[in-house]
Amino acid sequence: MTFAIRLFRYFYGVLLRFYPRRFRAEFGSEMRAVFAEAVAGAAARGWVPLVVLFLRELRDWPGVLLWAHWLVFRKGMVMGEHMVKAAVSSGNGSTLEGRHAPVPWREALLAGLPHALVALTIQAGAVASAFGLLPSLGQGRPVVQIMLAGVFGLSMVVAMVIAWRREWPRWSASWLGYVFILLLGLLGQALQAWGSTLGGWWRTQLLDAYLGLLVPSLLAIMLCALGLRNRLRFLLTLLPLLPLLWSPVLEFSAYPVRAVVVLAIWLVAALLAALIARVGRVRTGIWLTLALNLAVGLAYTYTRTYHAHFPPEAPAHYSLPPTFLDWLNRFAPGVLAVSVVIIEPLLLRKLRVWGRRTGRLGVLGFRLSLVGLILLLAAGLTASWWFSSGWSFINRVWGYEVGRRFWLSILAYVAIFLCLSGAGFFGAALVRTGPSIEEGAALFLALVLVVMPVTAALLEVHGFWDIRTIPRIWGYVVGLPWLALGVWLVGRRSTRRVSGAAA
Amino acid sequence: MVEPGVESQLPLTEATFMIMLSLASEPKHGYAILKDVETLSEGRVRLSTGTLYGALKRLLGDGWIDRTDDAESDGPGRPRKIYTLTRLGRRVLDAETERLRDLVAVAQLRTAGAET
Repeated sequence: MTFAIRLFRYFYGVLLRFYPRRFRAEFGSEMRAVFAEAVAGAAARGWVPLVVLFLRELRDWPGVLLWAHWLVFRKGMVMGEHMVKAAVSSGNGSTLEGRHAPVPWREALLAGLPHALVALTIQAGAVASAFGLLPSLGQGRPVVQIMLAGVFGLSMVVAMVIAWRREWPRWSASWLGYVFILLLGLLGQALQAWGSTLGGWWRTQLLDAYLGLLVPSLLAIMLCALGLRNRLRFLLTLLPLLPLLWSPVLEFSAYPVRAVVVLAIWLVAALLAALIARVGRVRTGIWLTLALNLAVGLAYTYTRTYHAHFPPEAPAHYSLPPTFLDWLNRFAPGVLAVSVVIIEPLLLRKLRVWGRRTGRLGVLGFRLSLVGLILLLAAGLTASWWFSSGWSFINRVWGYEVGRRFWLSILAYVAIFLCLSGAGFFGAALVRTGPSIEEGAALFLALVLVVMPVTAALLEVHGFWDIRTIPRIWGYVVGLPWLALGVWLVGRRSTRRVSGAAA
Repeated sequence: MVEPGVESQLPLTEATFMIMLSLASEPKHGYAILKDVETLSEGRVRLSTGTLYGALKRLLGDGWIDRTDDAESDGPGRPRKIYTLTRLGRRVLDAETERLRDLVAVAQLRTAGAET
């Protein structure tokens, strides 16, 4: 029996090792002591209670372990919930300023490292390949390029393991976007493999569902969740997505120039990520992220407009000399569309703070708006991935146009209904709390009068993200004022104190 | 009448309720809570140490319990920790008890009506 007791205590020690370091430091010795007492008590009653006790520990271990790790991840990666609560209860906006302690340069460089690695491995490989410097094996990609991509993948795994061991320091947020993209890619591969076993028709449906529904929805949820919790980490995670969201613009651009431009953009992204992590100020982070959006937009649209390359079979009018308006028509709506991804999750955070300050009506308004805005974001991203055939299942039943309109419109209409309902509750809360809440009024206006019509209109016209086909009038007349208002709202220095009755 | 601020925290899970109930009478250390929960539930709820300390961490984070060194512990090594219900924790426990009492009252009323 003594040997069995020692064995169980040893195994319990092994189980404890899997808990996060901070959890172990706080409770580890106590848990050991309690388990030792429990084991001694059970052993006095015989073998069966002893084994049952250990089996009970084993049964609960995975759940508690997952929860403990999730807690650490949440605290590290998406911390901020308690800060918002504190700010709401105190009526003091200072904690919403988003001032995080600056990190040493070494950590800041780790935040920029993934983007620099993309530049120096994947994009440098593309540049070398474009200039014919890399030998190609058969019809496949140059083997060196594949190896460089493998180096990046391996670095990502190593970085995540280090981040997990160090309980998710700030720099780890920079890698999170890539991990998410990788996980989505693996999910897509798994779905395709599964679809292949079911047959060709199912394979197409699963791929459509994956690209048209799953990827945009998960991305929208992830972005909003991060934006709501910790703005600095949200910005660091978002940074690598910006060049990817702009990448459709580069279609039909001359390859060597395109490869060099993309390489330069990833290096700029690396520099900005390091700066954002180093400075630790949310407002600076917002401005730098918006600056990257402008830089990517300028570089990509300029390349596409003035360094275009069309296949010989392209219609003759494709090759007409480019004009300034051609460039502007690509640039302005694109800036607006990508800015939505930056600003919307940050606006949601403001809405939540304001909603909580205005009581139950405000909270209800926030929740409805939250779901509505996530759906709108997902709908926008869905349009981004939309390929010419549309959703094949709906196409085959109702035809392409119906399929396209059905899917995009369903998401958009439900989202608009939810946003309008949320706005209604915000309006009611505003009436109750009086006109002193200047920011609340501004948010209300932003939500009802500008955000939804522009989003809805763009969705209805051609698909929000098909930035080449959006009439530029929307970009100039409606979109740019919304952009200015949104930047002003999310970049404001502090939130206003509200009356005691309102709080 | 349940306090509005506390109401949003309800209902509690059975394990949380039993742990808080165990601490309602007096402060206890981990093993004492484990045994007391088993006694209170007449052997129905048996917590593992993982579940117990997971719940204790949550309760500490919410400010419903406090953790202090046990002044009376005389064993070797680090002093034992004892857990105490805070004022907020007691308010939450009272609110949950009241909620459960109301539920039972409604159920008794309805089942008594069905029998007659």
